[in-house]
Amino acid sequence: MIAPRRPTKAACREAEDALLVGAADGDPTARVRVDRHLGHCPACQAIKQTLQQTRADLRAAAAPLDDVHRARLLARLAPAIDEQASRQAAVAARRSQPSGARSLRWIGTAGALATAAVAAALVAGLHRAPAPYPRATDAIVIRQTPATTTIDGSATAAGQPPAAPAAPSPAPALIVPYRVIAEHGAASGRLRREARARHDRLVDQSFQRLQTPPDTTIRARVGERMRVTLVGGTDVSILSAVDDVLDVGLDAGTLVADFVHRRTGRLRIHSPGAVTEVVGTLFSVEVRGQQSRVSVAHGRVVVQPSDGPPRVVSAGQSWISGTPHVEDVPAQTAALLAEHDAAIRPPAPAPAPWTITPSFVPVAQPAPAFEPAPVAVAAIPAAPVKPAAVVAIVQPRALIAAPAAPEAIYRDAESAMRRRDWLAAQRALERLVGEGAHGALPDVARYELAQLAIRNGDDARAARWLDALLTSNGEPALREPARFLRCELRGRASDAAEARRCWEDFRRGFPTSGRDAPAL
Amino acid sequence: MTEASFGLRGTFAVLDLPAWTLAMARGGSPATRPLLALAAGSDESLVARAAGGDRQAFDDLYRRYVDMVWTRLGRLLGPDPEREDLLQQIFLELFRALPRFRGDASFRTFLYRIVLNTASDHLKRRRRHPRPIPDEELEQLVSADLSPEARAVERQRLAATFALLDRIKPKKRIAFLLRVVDGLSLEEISELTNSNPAAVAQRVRHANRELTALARRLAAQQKDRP
Repeated sequence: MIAPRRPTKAACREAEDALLVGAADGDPTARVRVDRHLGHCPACQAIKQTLQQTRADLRAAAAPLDDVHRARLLARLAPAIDEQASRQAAVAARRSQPSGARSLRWIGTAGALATAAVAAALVAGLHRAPAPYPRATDAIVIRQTPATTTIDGSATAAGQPPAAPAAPSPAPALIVPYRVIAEHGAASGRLRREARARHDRLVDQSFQRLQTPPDTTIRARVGERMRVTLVGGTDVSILSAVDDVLDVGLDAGTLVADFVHRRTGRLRIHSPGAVTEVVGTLFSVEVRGQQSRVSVAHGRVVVQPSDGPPRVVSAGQSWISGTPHVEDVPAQTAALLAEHDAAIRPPAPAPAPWTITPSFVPVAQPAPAFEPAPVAVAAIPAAPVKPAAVVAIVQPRALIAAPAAPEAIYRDAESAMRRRDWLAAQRALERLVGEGAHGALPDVARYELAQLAIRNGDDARAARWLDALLTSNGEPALREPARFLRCELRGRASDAAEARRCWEDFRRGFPTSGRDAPAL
Repeated sequence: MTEASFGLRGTFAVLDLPAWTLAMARGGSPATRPLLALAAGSDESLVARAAGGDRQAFDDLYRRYVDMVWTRLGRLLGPDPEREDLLQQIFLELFRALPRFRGDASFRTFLYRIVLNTASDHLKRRRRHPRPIPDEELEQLVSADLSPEARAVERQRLAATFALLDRIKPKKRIAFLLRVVDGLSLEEISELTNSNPAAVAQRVRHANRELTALARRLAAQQKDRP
């Protein structure tokens, strides 16, 4: 019998190279030689074992994500992506401005500085009681009807002073507090100076319905949560404000708005062909004839077309009523959204490229006839805003991007689950659902609660959580596992016909599901 | 595929390339694959839509690749409590970088590069401020079937392994793990890390040598202890 040769250093080096960098891969002779060496060299076998162990350890550390974890991570990511998208849109809009517009930015800067100075003076109490609005030959007069306040381009009749400003309505209304604006360059230097001089005399104006002439842009707010920019000839009205749901009608023109989400409350824009439901976002609705275009800068809105199922319009998307597809937000609308976004942000890095137009002087009107339900007054307060509010704008962006408490609650639940403290986990998850937070986290919590209930043998409770999840129209990633679990529960409930129907629905709804085989 | 059924390559299942690397090798730029690019839901079409601001397309990309990114991060970093934050950072970076994606490499390669850069930066930070891996993270890697004593021993072994890996430089660690754990070829690693195959091979060898030396030193220290 031939004794195995003593391993040489060269053979060990060759084997190590083969193990580490695959040096022998393309050479069958070398592979045989290395295999033979590995058979009798304990040092190289140790290296091999160490490498295999390292591989096993690190592969174990890379356990795949489950559905819940995946959805939760996406929920965490979504606001950051939205923020990034709106920032990119703002940059793109700035770049797409014509060079002439860019060169006029200094005018905007000067206007903003003057506005800020005026506002500061007002805050400091230097402001005297406002005089009645001046009459000017180019003024636009607000003409009022019982339920409608109209702004048109007719000239003021000489010698007819406008009525005294009315007290701001406590009910939700369109408040035009500070800026009446036009596209940059629309006014000459003299007119801009006049407008600035006149600006400190503007006070809040409340409207239940507002019609604006073409070629004007008006910023307004509704309560403390919604800020709007009305572009062109708009016809906008407050329809109702009941149970924390604010209904706004838009019959013509373009409305760009941001709506700050809080625990409760929704905003619905009724326009021809669509009802757009908003929870918290920056979006626009444009009306052209009998069609509406809904565009979203960040966040998401649910649109209920008049002739079909509801659909979601996400950030960067635009949808026209009566058409099946979404498309990218058109450049012009993106610019409007970016401009509105920049204007509502308090520490505006670059002033908005607009200037105050002298051609619009609002004239006050008596309190509007429309009286919303009292409950809405509490839900969406419309506190009077002094002209100084021009520099004290609420920070909707900060509110939207604030660190989410639901995330912290979910982390609590997660660590409780790690400790196997199921009761604490359940409490935290129930709290998360009860908070009524926006996003995927409540759905994730519902799914976890269903699983906890199954663990406790309470199938009925699990079914309730799953039903709540499935009817919430929330996180799509969870719909498939939730439906699967729901069918399993139906099967366990010994309701064969119901279970069969459920599985059939599941297979129809998710034909490419990885769970298709067990469903079958 | 069993370990006894073939020679060196088979013995090291680590050298069996995952399916996606083959796809990457077969791939090419979208320009050379127009039909594929036209296919609804292909990477290229999703990337193009996402780069144009379509959030739904980006969400689809996320759902398609989140598992891959999560797994790669796990293999490169081990059980790191900051892995979720890094995953978020990677997708945010991807969103920013999408408009710059020219299609020279496949989207997977593009994304994998972002993963590697993020992991590398994180490893550099972690080397400067080392933190022990929490026990609960290690606990999840240990089989539940073992006895409590065996679990404790296994936890210690894992902690030592990850501590040793943390001692070597991120560049070497990444090359070593891509080769040994992910089973990529030197050429693939060099494409991902923007270096040449010879340099990658050197890094892998150095990493192994350093790990061996560190492990020996650790074993000697443990032997010396009373």
